[in-house]
Amino acid sequence: MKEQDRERTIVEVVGRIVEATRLGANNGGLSVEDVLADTLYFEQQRLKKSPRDRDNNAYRKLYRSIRQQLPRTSVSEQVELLRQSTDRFAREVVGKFDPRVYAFTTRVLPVGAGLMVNAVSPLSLISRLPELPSLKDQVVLRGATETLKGLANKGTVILAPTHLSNLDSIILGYSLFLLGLPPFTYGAGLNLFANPLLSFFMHNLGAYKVDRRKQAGLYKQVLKEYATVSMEFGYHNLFFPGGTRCRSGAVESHLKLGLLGCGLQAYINNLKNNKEKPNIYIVPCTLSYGLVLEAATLIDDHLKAAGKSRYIIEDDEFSKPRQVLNFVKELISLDARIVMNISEPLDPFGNRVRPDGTSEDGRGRSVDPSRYVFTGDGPDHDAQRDTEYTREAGRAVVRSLRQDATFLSTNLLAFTAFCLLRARGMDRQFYRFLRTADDLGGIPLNEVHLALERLRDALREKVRAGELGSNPVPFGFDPQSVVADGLKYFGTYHTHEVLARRGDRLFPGDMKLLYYYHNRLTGYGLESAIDERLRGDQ
Amino acid sequence: MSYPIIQLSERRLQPDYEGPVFVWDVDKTYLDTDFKSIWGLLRIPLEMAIDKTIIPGTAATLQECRRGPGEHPVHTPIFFVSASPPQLAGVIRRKMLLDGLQPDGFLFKDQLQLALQGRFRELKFQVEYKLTAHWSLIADLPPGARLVVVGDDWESDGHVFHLLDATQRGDLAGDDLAAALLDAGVTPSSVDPMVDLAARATGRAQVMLACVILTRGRDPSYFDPYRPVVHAAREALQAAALFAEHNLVSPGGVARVAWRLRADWGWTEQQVADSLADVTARSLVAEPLIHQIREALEHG
Repeated sequence: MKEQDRERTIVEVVGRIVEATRLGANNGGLSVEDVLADTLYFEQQRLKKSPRDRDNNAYRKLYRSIRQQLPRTSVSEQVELLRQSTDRFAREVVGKFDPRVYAFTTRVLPVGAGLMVNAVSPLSLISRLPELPSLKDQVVLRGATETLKGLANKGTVILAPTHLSNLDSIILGYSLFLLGLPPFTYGAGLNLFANPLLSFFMHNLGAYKVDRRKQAGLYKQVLKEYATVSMEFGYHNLFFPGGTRCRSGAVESHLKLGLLGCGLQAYINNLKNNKEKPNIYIVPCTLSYGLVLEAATLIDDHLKAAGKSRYIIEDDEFSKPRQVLNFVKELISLDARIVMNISEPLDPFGNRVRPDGTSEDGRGRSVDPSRYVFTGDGPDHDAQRDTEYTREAGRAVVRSLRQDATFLSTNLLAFTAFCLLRARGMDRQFYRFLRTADDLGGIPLNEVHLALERLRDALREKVRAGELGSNPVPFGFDPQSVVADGLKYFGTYHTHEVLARRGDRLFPGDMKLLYYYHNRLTGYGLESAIDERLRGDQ
Repeated sequence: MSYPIIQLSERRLQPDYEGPVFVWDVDKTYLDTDFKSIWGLLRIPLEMAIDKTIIPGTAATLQECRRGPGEHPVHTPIFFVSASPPQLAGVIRRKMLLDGLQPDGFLFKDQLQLALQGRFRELKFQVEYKLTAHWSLIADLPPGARLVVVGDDWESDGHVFHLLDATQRGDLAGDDLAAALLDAGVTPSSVDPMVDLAARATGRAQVMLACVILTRGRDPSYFDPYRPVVHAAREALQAAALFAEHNLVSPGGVARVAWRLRADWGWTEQQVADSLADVTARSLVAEPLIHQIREALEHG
């Protein structure tokens, strides 16, 4: 957020939350005292496990003071305490944007990363001089890019991407720059602000801070209100609707609607305030990597608890600069592509938006979205109604993400190999199968090729039926090339080869990672194309 | 004294296998290794896989060799013979992985052992190594396998392939072979072990085709004495066309090699046409096949 907007944003966020709490209390909701007590409880729980650094000590001091005052305060004094707590949260959350750092970063980062990588291979660097390597060639932008650029001038955009890696925000930021769009604001986990590689950039490139350890309702309200106000001030936003990095590697099918709902709130506020450009556009977007930096940690987490995964992972590959360097090196040396696929935009109600910014319903008829929020004389909020609209928008986002997913050679090869192995080990319980698949023997390459051909046909059928976008496999689907390309990726970055070829057979080297990369194609009913016995697993 | 060789095999063929087996030389045939200059020699151990350069079009040709002549890939066995030390196996394997190749095995010259045994001449001399490597490999192959050997014009590959063909057919053995080996410059103390090794390999895995890729730029007529088994290809596209003539790759596969040469190596349409015209003029490839290749090129 630009310096000139910071203070007024904080004032607006704090004012709205305090007012809403006061009004809520008057209408039978939680009292101000209850909200404060709730905040104290959750914050004390958090602080018990937190180190004694400057920030936490400031919080301790604030809460000590509130705890002492709370039993003896009047309602108006409680409101003041609430204002103090909210202000503290808001000041922590609000992001800073320094245009000089942005200009520097967009010029230097791509080449810097390229140099960093080639420093590992000085011969390669010398042989290319004076041309400097760049990350630019690695990013492939597809889909409704022109529509996105057009809509960014017609209203405020919420980019809603899939989330696989902590590198996503960097790749997305860089892609938006390549498209000629201004930087988007987005919420980034506290761990990224503490990351030695990224800290400086996170603090200066408009990211706002999200501390997932803060569980107090008041803090979550601050986050939502901050996103809402920033949109009303015309800042394009980037939300990861899945909430956190997808642990399984699949395309998200369950979204967290909280931040998505902010778009609707901002839209209604814009209409109420007669803003010149009130429209909010939700643009789903899928990111696809041949290799995922944190794949090993994420799938471990997914399998460990199957549903009870850690929400915050602070000790993954991303926190190890050497590992990140190694990953980026592989990315460039493999000439790997990262595909960013922009879907057709949606309005806050889940209607499709045309390139000219107007909405249309499922039958292609024009609709006026402002009519959706009219109550009596004009536009207004209605909690129950708005929740339902947001759910509808969430469903539309999921449909887009799944429909416009992109599958790379690692996904295609892993899906095929995993399904062939699974069919052989059908008699084993799933976790046992993962542990013992090694003893199923290798899969003959000709079997893999034939299965890939069946998968290719099944994908074509899905495209014809409209279940997938027109080109889900962007770099061609020649089975032999898919095998060669997939093996190239699987044989390099990860500690153990995910899948290895010996002679004319493929052998699983890391079943968990094979499962992770395979998961990208799950949920489309493609398993039976590989082996009819897997029909029940779909 | 036996020749120190490191043999790494990842695939055991069925005993009744009667199909082709490619045996490719690595240095100067697939990898563009510079053994001649001091800088080139210094570079070799320092190079990472990504730094290694290849002879234009050879990766695509090798992929087509693996794919075979039909619609579905047949995974034709491919083994590699390298005069590099086995310590470079990791880098070479990784380079092949990056190039999408699927080697089934390697034979490396154990240069450390040679040096320790004081056989310094043999560090640079390749005839002994190449023949020993091929016979060692043949001893492990099914008797019905048919060899397709691929080398270059920098060393004595043409002569090596000629001798190999003769011994495999049983035309050269015993004292005659010993004399031929001495003529070829083999160290006298190595001759007897080599004749013994050849005797074990004779009759197994006949040479079906030998191809020398002229990466040094010699005139093809230099290899005329070694015909009909040894053929000279000026570059990878001609090698691919030659393999297609022997039904080892498809006409579409040759077209794919041509596309890669154009896309990755800056070849022009005219260069492709000239190359194909040359193999026809030299009677390596018949006109009907060239017609099919041209059709595949036109129809993408």
